[in-house]
Amino acid sequence: MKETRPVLTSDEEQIYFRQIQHSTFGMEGQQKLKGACVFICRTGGLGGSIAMMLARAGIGKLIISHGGSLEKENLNRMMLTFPDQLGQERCEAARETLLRINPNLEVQITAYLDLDNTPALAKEADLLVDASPVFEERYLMNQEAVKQKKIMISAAMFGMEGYVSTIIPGQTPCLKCLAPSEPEYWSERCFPVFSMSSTLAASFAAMEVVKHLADFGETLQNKMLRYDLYSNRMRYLSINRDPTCDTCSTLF
Amino acid sequence: MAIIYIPEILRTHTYEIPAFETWDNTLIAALHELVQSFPQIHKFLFKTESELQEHLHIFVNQTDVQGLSGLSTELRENDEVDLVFAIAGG
Repeated sequence: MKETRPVLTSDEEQIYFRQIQHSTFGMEGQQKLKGACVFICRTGGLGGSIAMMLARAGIGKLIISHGGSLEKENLNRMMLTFPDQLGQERCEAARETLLRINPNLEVQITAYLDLDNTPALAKEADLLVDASPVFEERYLMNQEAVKQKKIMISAAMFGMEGYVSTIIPGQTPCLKCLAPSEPEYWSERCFPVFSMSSTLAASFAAMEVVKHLADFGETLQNKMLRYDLYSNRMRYLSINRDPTCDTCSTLF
Repeated sequence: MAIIYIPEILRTHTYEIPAFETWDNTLIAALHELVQSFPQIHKFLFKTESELQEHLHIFVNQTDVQGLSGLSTELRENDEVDLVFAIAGG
């Protein structure tokens, strides 16, 4: 994060007045958000909702990745997209909406992540968010978070269930500690989605981002917040690192 | 009696039942009883009869059983068991 905190314009002071009122966040927290860059992998029901909330909260810069073109079956959950954008590149559609929400936001877009582009994108960001439906991309993000020792918020959902956790390399389990390899049962299009579920995970994840960037509140390190909207059941699970993890064990 | 909460990813194999009550007093016995009732979930849970799949973490009263006694963890009255599978929905 930038050493010198940017000053808010008079317009920004008015826009963010209600969150600046939060005593543990305040003007200092708002300035930290304005000076911060967050890299979000995918802008679907989960990542797109996180991006939307961060844009509205006054984050300075977002790097977002999502390949392909907008399809009808995306519209039930991708909060950054609208029917008149069908056929448009998903990333471009997301950027368009984000800039409508916050014209002062800087948005950098890329399509799919790979071994070549992920390290540089992660390097530009203060914090990473892992919201991909593809384990391969999640592992790429996790690997860079660990290598560059950057905090990563990991969130995922399935139908009416989901989880959020904070990965702090060297202090908490990483994603590979929890899921060492892609499960056979998983495929990108296998999971049902209610937007109420993906936006719930997104709310916790976005709040987690803001808390880390502005350095306030209690965060989900070594914890997994897990919900099930079918039964309205919520759990705070204590999670442990894997001492044999092929990604993060050398940090301990 | 303890309760095993069945995650959505398994429920197509459990007739959509979201929870399973058990009087077994160890986790391994309770899981075998669960599998006996719903045989299709066996491959999701077990690599071998006594080894869990690596994409599954089991929590008893919100603590990972790896930090307790693993599959030998005792179950007591009102214990709550969560089966947490690796998922990546976004």
